[in-house]
Amino acid sequence: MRKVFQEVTSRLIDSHLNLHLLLGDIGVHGFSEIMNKHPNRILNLGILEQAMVGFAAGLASRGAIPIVHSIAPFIVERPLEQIKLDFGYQGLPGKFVSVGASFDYAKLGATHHCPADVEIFLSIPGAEVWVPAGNRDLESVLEVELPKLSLSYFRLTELGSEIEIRHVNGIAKVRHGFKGICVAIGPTIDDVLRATEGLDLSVISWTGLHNGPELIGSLQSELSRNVIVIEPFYQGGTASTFACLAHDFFVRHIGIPREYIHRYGSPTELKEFVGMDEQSLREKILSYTS
Amino acid sequence: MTPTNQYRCSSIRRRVLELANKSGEGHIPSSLSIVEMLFACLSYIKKADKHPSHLVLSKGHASLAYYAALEEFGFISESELNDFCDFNSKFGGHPDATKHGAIPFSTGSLGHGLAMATGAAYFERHKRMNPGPIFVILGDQECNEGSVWEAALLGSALKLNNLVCLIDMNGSDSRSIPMQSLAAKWGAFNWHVLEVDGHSREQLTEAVNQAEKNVDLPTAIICKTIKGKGISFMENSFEWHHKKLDHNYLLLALEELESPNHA
Repeated sequence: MRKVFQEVTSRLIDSHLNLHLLLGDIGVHGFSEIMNKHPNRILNLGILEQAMVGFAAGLASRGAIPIVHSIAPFIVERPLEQIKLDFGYQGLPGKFVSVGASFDYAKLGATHHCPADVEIFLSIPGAEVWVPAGNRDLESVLEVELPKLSLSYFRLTELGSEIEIRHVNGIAKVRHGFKGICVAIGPTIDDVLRATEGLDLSVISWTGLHNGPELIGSLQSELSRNVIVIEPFYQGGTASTFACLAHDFFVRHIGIPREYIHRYGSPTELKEFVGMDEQSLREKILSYTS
Repeated sequence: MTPTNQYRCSSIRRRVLELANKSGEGHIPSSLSIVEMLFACLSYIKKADKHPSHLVLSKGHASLAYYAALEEFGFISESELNDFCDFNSKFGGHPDATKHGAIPFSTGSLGHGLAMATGAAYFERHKRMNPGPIFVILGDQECNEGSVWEAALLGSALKLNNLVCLIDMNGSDSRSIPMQSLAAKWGAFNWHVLEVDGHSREQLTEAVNQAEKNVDLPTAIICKTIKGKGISFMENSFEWHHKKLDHNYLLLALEELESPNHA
């Protein structure tokens, strides 16, 4: 996804003079060409995240749309108050693009994990949260959303989906079924489709997590009232979206347990470790639907 | 200070006291310590025909003096400010940028203003033919915040010579973590540093004019001030930091301001 982000952003910076890119000392090589072309609009500000976000808000207050890019915990958790106040409270536009997701940096340990990012960003009133499924999805989302005057978060991951799905407002019905509904968030769609193969379940791919009311609306037309939400972040991270369904639906969340991970290895190994691999998902989904 | 300007600074102080009394809100001593700093910045902005958004109040709790000074310079109206802190007011205990065009940033949580001002100064320098300075007023205790020093590092690294930071050394930090040798600290962050009497309009004006001539460094003006300046029972009194000003104390304070001995 990083390469897609670099390509789309470089293209948009060329054509949109109000776009600025601020790097937290990552992705610098990938942007080197466009940095030479627009040295005043692309800056590597190093590792001073609070000031970087405040600086970005200062740019936005003057009419710029800043794109701020770093590893998820350092762009969401560390400067959270700056995002909340300097952007959210002031109603300024800004684009926060993270890499690393929940545990892409598996070998580096939990200091570089961020399974809470989506839940945190969703707590900022008015913010949009995008969890693209894969490269093509990311490309189309960035093309449309980066130039918009909105506050948005984009969660990039190395574990992206390989399936091409066309979403409308971040929602796509992928499979029809009658005995339950699986809502697969972002890159979990591949595993969810494989895990539910042969089961009589609807599968909905959901990537625009701020569009909760629209998703809820689409669930109303389903025959089943049994909903399973598969979250590539902390389990229950989108629970507030589904709270309004408590009377009519039976909603369960499958996600990453709320525990620190003291393991290394690869992202795939950690996915298995926390029970988010295809086999574990199938077992959990079967237990919830049988 | 010319009598006219002295009178205008007294008017700002009077307005601070009256609004604090009427609303039952306001950090009065923190407001009174920055009156001359606000006056110097807004005089420059007015003379240079710049927008008031060139002044950022990072120590947002001193909003009363900020609003009163904006009113004194005609950037907000008397009627707008009369309902300070009322339910539908545009002006609350901390500035809200979404409420009035004269306010560039919403501040209140300390340590945010300088970084935002740094972004604004960068944008102005690269996008405007005649950018003009961005002034930021910081508290001394606010300099405890790490985000201030991140922004200080950024300002000098980007060579923002149009960024001018005035630090209100009113001793607020003295009962917690004192920011000793502030001039040396800002100098170590590669800022052009000036030290002035923060109640001397002449010294402040000269410092602001010097800052404008700086070629490739941002400027920090360390302003030695008195918290609660002008009202004897408030001066350097922590008790008054966020205390309501009742009618009797208001009369006492106004009497001091009207006194011929008041400077």
